Amino acid sequence: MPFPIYAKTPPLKQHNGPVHVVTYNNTGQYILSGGQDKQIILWNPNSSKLIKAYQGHGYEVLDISVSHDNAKFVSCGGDRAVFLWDVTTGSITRRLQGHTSRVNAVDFNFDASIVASAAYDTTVRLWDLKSTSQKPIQVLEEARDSVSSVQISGYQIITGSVDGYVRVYDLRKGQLQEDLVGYPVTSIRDSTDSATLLVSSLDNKIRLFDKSNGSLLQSFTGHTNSEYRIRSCFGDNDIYIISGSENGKIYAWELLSGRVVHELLAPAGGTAGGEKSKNVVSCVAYHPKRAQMISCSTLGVIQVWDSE
Amino acid sequence: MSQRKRPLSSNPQSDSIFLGTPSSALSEFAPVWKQEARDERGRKRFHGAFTGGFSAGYFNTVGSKEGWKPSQYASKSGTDKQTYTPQDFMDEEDLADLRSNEKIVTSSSLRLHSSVQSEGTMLYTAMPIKSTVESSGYALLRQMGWKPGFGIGPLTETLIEGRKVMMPPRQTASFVQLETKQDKHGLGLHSASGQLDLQSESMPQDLLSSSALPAASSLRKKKNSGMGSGVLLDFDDNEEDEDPYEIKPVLYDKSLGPKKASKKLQIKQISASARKGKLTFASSVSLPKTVRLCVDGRPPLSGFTLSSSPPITAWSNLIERYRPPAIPTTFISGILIMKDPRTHVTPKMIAEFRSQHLHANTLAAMVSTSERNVELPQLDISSRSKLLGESANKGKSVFDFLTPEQRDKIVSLTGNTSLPPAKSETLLAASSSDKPPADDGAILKLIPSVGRETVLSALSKSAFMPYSDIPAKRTRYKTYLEAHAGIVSLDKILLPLKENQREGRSGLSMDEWLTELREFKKSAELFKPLSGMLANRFTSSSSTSGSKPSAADSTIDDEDVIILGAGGEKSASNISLNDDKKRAAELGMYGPLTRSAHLWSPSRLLCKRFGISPPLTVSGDLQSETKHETSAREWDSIGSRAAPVTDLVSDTVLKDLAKGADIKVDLVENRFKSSDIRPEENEALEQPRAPADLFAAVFGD
Repeated sequence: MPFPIYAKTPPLKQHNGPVHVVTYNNTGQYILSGGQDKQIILWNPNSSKLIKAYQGHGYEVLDISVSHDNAKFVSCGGDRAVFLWDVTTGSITRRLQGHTSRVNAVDFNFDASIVASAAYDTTVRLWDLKSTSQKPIQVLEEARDSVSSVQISGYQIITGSVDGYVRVYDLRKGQLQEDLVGYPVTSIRDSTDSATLLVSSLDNKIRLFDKSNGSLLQSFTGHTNSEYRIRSCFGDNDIYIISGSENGKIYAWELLSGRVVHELLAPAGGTAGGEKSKNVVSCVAYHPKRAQMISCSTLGVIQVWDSE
Repeated sequence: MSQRKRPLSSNPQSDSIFLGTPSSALSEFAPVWKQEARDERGRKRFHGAFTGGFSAGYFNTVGSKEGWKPSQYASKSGTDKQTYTPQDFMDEEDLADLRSNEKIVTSSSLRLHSSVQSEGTMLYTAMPIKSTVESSGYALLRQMGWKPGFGIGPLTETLIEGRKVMMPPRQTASFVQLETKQDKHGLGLHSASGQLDLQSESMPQDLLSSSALPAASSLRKKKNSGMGSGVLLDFDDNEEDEDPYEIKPVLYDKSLGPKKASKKLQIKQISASARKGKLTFASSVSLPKTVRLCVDGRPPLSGFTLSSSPPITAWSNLIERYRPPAIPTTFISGILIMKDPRTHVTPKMIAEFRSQHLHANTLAAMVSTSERNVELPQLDISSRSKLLGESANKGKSVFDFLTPEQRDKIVSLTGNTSLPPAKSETLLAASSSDKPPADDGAILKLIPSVGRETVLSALSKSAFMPYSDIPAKRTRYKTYLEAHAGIVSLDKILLPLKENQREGRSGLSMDEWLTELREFKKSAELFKPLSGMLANRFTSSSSTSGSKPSAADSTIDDEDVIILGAGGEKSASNISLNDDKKRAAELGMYGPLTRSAHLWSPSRLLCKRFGISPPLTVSGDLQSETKHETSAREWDSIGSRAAPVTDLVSDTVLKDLAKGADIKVDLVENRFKSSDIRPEENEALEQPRAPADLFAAVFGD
């Protein structure tokens, strides 16, 4: 599939302030975005229309994860709690509290019975959604610094932490695998075949690791990432690697060769002096089925990219 | 005996009885309002109007015929002696407020003459008393007989109109009033011209007339620092080219005369400076005919005169008085070190000394620097050191290591040709010299030695033996320790070296051998165990690097958990582990070097949610979730021996899985075989209670 490089639809500017996360739902029909203005907004990417705005957070929203049935999603942020929302009614079904500092990332498991949340307090908490317990089922405390990202992929819980380690907790083996990356890890993503791990770190590099032996398969450079959390993802059945950058651009690499194939300039938002102010593309997401992707930036602009 | 109410029938033969009261008795009927209520004893009841209720007074023994008065309340617990003052309810702040509001006021009892006060005060208007309240001074005077209008002093006898009268003294002038200075200039300032008030204007003229001071200021206008008068402001009266700093000539039209004491009271305000002026003494002796000025051309300050002795005209004349001492001709400014301080230095000796040291590059004639036109000789380091008597420099200079080309380069750059020659040595000349010390004794001297105690403790059973992955090195380490303990001869340490010399590659070269020995020394110092009692209180934990657990676990032998599936001859000591990892990560050599695996226990509930069967390392019950869930690190320390053995996953399967993850899980086999776990029994819990002395040792002082 061709890579989506055209910004056909106008940018979505409903957020006031940096947008921290943007994600598709399971089918790719909707986008959920959350940012500094404590709002979560549900959009239709094709019509660029705002469908619903979810208010409830007291602090900024740092991550959103949608369940497989698209009926609910979890969000987390500065108020140290994980909120479980119902999509249609917009109400908060549950509030999972236990972290002692801001929660950086959340993820559902495959049947939305467990939520994993990673926080600045170096812990990852696993919450049970089927019971009404206030306490998490388990707390993973091996990290020595803020845990910046978490993903539940199959029977593994993968976390990346600012202490430079990527930890893979395998539930079936009962084993924790610690891989030293050497630099603060800001984003981890498991590939579709679960054989490789995409790790973004603050040394301006994105690395692709072989999960079986921990060796480095590929590293992607060209973008700038040394201060902010910038998320990277796979695209188009793991053909491409896409990441934002601190210079306001979106980079796309070919996975196999490792070379930059696209460099897209994210819209700046057109504020006065907007060209001069720093624009960090904090999150990118690829459509689960089509050739489309979305990006969000710290100037509060969300852009939908299409392939024609 | 009550009267029979019923009379017996008068006719005893009648057979009828009479019942009831005969109607004659009922003639006592009275209306209700006439009826009286009496009790069985005939006493009246219901005194007054009866309105229902119980009776209590008087006949019920409360009160009396006169009535009942309630008694006064008396506290049974005694009288309440404490009376509360408002201060009791105040806190610190309130009390502080009270105190701050207090004022110190003289009480009326302190006034001496309250009787006088009550008379009222009659004041002369001339009295310069400003306050409305009389001060105690006046009151005291009054008590002593003074009256306003009198002067101070005894009453004198005078004759008035032929009569002898006691007259009070005349009141003299001036209640001295000190005025506060309202302005901001200094005390001697002449306010209009800005000059110093050399002669205070406010001084009464008659007092100053006797002084011989130049009255330059008298010519100045009366100064008021008003608007129109300033140094340069008054154009009208002065010509414009008037120099304000010009000293005007002196006028001598002063006269000595009697003080004109006015009859009226003169209240003069004398400023403090005037009073000062009053007290200065201007000697009449120092009355020069001409006014002499000071060096700067101005007259001296008021009250001062210039001295009569001739002035100092030149500084150099002082030299005559204060000439420095003469330096003897035999003095040499230089160093002359005499071995015997008592030797008498003769000029001959000095001349000899001088002639001796008359070399080109030394301090030539030791000439005094005070003599002119002597060039100081140029000294450099070597000549100075020779001079001071130091021995030649033993150390190596950098030029020994430079090549001649490099030296020439430096010479051309600096222009300094007197650099020492380049010798092109190499740094390792000492160690890799052509011929190694052929002598065994010399080699033995190179072995770094360790203290005997250290060695013994390193050799003890509870000490950690490093280099578990390189057995050869381990034996060499043991040999090293044993040799130093005296168990074995020192020559044994030399063996690997000798092998090298003989066969070539099987032993160690000199450098390798030396570095290894140094490493051994450090290891010996590092890996000695905790001694004695302290050791009993602690058990060492086994960490991921496979360090040996405490002495109690002596069953585990050399096949420790080698979790790092690393190749290469790395020592498995703890310290180097993290560094290796980091270094590998920095180099980009991701792989087994940067990876470490630990056992992790997911909780049962978690596994249930994920729909998987719990692995070996699962922890916790479904129902009661303990707060303390063992983290991966703890798992390692426990060594997962406490895990229940349920053969959900067989050893072989585990091994296969582990192979994929490149972990040597040989431990599983070893552990299970050697310790033969039986879940029903738990030795740790079932041992007999430890002897009392162990308890005392652990928990005692």
